[in-house]
Amino acid sequence: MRNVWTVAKREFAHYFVSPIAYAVVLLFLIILGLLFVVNVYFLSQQSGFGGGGEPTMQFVFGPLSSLILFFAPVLTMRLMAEEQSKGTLELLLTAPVREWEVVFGKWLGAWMFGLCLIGATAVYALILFAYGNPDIGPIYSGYLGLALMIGAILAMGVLASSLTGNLIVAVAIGYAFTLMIWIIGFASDLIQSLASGFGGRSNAIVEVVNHIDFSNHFQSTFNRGIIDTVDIIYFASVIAISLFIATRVVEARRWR
Amino acid sequence: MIQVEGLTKRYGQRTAVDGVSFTVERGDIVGFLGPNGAGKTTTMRILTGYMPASEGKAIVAGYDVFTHSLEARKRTGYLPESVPLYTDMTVWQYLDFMAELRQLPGREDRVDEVLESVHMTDRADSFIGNLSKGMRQRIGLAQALLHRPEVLILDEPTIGLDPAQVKDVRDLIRELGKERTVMLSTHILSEAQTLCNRVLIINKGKIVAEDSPDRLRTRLSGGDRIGLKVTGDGAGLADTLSKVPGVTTVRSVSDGEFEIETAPGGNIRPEVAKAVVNGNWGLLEMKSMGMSLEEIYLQLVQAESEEEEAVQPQQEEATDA
Repeated sequence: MRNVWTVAKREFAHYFVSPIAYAVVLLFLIILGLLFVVNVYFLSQQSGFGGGGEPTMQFVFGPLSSLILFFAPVLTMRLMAEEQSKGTLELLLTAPVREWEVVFGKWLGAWMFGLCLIGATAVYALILFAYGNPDIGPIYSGYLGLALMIGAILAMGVLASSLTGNLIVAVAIGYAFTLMIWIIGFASDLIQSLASGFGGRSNAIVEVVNHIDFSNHFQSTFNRGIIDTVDIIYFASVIAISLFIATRVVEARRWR
Repeated sequence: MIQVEGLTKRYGQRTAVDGVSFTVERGDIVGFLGPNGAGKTTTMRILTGYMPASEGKAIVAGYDVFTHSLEARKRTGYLPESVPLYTDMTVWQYLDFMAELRQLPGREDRVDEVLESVHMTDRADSFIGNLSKGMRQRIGLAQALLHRPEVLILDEPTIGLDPAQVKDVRDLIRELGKERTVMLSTHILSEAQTLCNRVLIINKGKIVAEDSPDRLRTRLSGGDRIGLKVTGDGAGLADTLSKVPGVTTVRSVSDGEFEIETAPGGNIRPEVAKAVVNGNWGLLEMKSMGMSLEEIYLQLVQAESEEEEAVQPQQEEATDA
């Protein structure tokens, strides 16, 4: 376990050395800031006419949960791929360190940075508290959900990165994974409509596909203030499975 | 310290290491010689636990590298051929990271100590990416020494260094070899000759010779080679010399300088000297030259490939028929 922490610390510190991380954070906050301002402005306009309501952190969480998908593979692309292309993996794996410790440590370092990233959005919550009276519950659950979700996406990114020694390929595979798991819900709609045309015996498939879909585990639960163990187990399993496969991939590399 | 038995590594169809066996004792500095692609790096990677062998057994510092890999790795220092380093870290950060991975007690002191031993203390805060090849080589070496390993495995440790650094590194290795076991690969033959007390020559995945550099020399050449220098141009000396019993060939190198090869067994230098003096040539110099490791190496490696070439045409003929 100590080795996990050693690796994680190095990766976490690395984000603050490389310019990529700063670029990502900057873009991230600009986009979210813009959406936040626009949303709050229109809401306040509406409430002037008696409509609208209390501004909430859902203005931030909604777009944030989508943005993570685009930023996470960039954050994870170099984690394993660079070790392979630079040959430093040879150094790590001839030290008394196990493969899973390397993989898990890399993910942990990235996740800690991911938490900082979503933590930076707390500034919007502070603004809301300063000028309004938002409900605290959905903010807690929203952050919990985001923390789990970014952990899961980063784990898939680590897996993508372990599959190749090329950063561009790692990013492409990462996008393939995350987008697939994001839009798989569309497939369930399709299956449902097709199945209903043929007499409808596909409920089980639809259910499974809906369970795999990322958005069903955040938008409809955490983002509305609901904390469901199903969702927690879902994200935890995505992390565990991705890191397990990534470890196996690194191990398999030795046998070639 | 290192025991290898029947080690074989196949990459698909290609056999990189083919039934290699050898042992290395504590305090040995063993040179691993061979042309590119002979299987040196693969063997070293197996010994350091980076990749498993297809067959065979390897025991390093008392632990099997397959079944007790972590224990063996704890006792091994390894400098990979390409000297992979994290270029985005400073020298100190990097060594500290590796020391932490090795879970060394008193980490900071040890890092300072190791930096001192490779003369890099003044560059401790430089980014590794900005260092020259020679400096990186020394950082790689420092990394391998961090945990005071019992066994050091160095893949081409002096490649890319300037002559002064080469000397430094060789001195360091010699020093380390006193209490540790060092195995280094090289294709600089003079390095093996001066540094190692044992040499393994590997070609096409097989060990073709194994002995001390001195004995390897005599064993292979059998006879001796004598260099001779006389006053004047030495006209007619060649004829006289070739009549001395035991002399197989006489070659005139330049005016007054000759090279004599002798048949194995017996020292005929006194007879040669007598022949020169009796013929009224002034003997200026006479030395035993032996065969350089370079020649031995080429002889071995070429003999191998000639054998193979000799076999192949026969096979082709057979298929034609």
